[in-house]
Amino acid sequence: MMTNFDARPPFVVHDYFLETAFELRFQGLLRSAWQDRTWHVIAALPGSGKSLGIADFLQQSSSYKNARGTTHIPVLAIRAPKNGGKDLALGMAISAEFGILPTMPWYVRRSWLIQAMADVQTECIIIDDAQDLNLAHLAFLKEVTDNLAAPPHARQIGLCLVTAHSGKIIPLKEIFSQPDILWRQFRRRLDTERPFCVVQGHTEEEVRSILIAFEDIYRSQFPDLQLGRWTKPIFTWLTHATLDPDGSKRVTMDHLTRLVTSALRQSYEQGATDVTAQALQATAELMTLRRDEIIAIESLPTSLPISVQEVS
Amino acid sequence: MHDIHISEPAWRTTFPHLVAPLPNEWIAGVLLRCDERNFWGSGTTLGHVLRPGSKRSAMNELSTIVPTVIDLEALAQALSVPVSRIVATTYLAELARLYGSEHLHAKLLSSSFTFHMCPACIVEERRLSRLLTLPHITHCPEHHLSLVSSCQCGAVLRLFHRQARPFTCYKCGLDWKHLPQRKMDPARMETEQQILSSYDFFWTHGTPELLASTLRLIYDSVVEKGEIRVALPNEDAQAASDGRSYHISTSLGYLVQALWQLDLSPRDVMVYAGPLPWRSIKWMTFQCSEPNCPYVGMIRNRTRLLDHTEDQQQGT
Repeated sequence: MMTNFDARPPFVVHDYFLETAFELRFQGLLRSAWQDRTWHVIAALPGSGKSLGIADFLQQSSSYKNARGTTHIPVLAIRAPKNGGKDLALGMAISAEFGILPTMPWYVRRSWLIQAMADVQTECIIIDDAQDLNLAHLAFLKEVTDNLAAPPHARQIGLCLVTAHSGKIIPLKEIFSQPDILWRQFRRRLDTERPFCVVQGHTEEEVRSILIAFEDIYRSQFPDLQLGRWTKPIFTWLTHATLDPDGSKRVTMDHLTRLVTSALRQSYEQGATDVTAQALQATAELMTLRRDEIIAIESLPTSLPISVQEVS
Repeated sequence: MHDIHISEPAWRTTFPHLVAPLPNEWIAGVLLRCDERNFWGSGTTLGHVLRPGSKRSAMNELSTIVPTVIDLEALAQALSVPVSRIVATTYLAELARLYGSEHLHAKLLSSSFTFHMCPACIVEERRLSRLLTLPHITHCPEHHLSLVSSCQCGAVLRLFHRQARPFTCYKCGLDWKHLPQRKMDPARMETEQQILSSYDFFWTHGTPELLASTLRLIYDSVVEKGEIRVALPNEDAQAASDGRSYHISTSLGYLVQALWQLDLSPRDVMVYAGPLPWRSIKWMTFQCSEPNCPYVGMIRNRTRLLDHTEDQQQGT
């Protein structure tokens, strides 16, 4: 069905956080580490939704500051420092989570951090992009958690090192298997039952659930939208070797969202109230078969909707 | 103020632990409580909110009274409180209204500064009252204790010191709350109550006109008494350390002391500033045999006005 598309407002992408099957699995693991104060290396494919899941998890962790001087941060989540750096880089990243801090020497900040983490009752540390951590960072993490576990704080801390992985290789696994004392100490602290975990992407059934959620989200712009009926072809396209080089037969949230929103946008601009299999297929081909195609930009952008006036 | 949730932008622009100014608290106390609550050394918060080019040591001197070296907006943001609540920990607004100027200097209040504090206030709330910065005040009006300016070890107390914990002696580390609490001499306390009521009067009603009138009153009183008991007002223009010239036009501390020495009260100031020609006799005892004396009528009106003002002050 087509409508008078001149009268329609521009297409709006809704980037809501969806509690997908992946997020349930991923956040379940984070929650377990928080509750049981266990240590894990958690891996998932790039684009799975790890960072969004951590951000949502943090929101649920009920951290607050109040005017009476009480601050509560049960879960501290940071992204690993890029470009290496020493313990200072990781210390700065962690302390930035508390808010603004006056300038202070590193040796002062180092001891402040321990006291502050104990005071705000930190129970779990989550480090995103943990594959970027280096020896100095990991040694500092061990120092911080050991100091918190020792008197007078006596506070056990859960630790989740969240990494992106590809294939069968899980970052940090080989490092922790090395015979050096530090790595052996680190390895010993990892959870007995689930030290290294890979959180899988979405099965076909899970993709169907997400597509049905998309139908509701975009209902106001697509009154006749029925995405669920295209579950099978979508699953097939998104597990193409280009997008699933490891052959996991699982779909990442990033690929699924890209396919749907791109197809919806194009259909919307053509005045459609539903999306067709052809539109979805065309987008899927762009993402797989034609993903390396070079696009020549020749035409001028469409004119601005506002008038341009000369000012003196 | 509501709790700040981690998803709010204010989370990133505030200190790890927040402190809210207490009623009538002095800004130096807010800074020290913030240091203490955040496990920082004495003066760390101050260092963060110092205006560019300002020295931290300035806050152990006169600048503590009129803290022009502090970026009050930055402090308000870091503590997530309205700027007005931070301004209320200083006498900036009151002095600006009294002197009719935005270019304030500590010398408008006092020519010197000695830090002293009440150990009982520290015990109760780690509180440094704004009143402690006022010249000629040497006791705590709440606890009736003498203010303490040096430690038992002999060291002079310093507000901010890099090597010290907040609210402790920088030399021996003794917490100020452990300093001896000495009862104030009742006579001296009575005197200081009068001085405090004069300050209160100027903070509440002060304008440049009232200030000028008070100066004239002091001058007339001195002339009338025929003896110089206080130095005459100094109205020389002076240059501040930052090169900006300011008019010293007599500090409030000087005025308040002069009023006390000349046995003049806020009532005298109000009457002198009014339409009546000032008389050397006390206006409250002015009597006239004429039944419809216009002076007596006006005096009654002024008395009612003053009584009303005092009632309001007591009410607040």
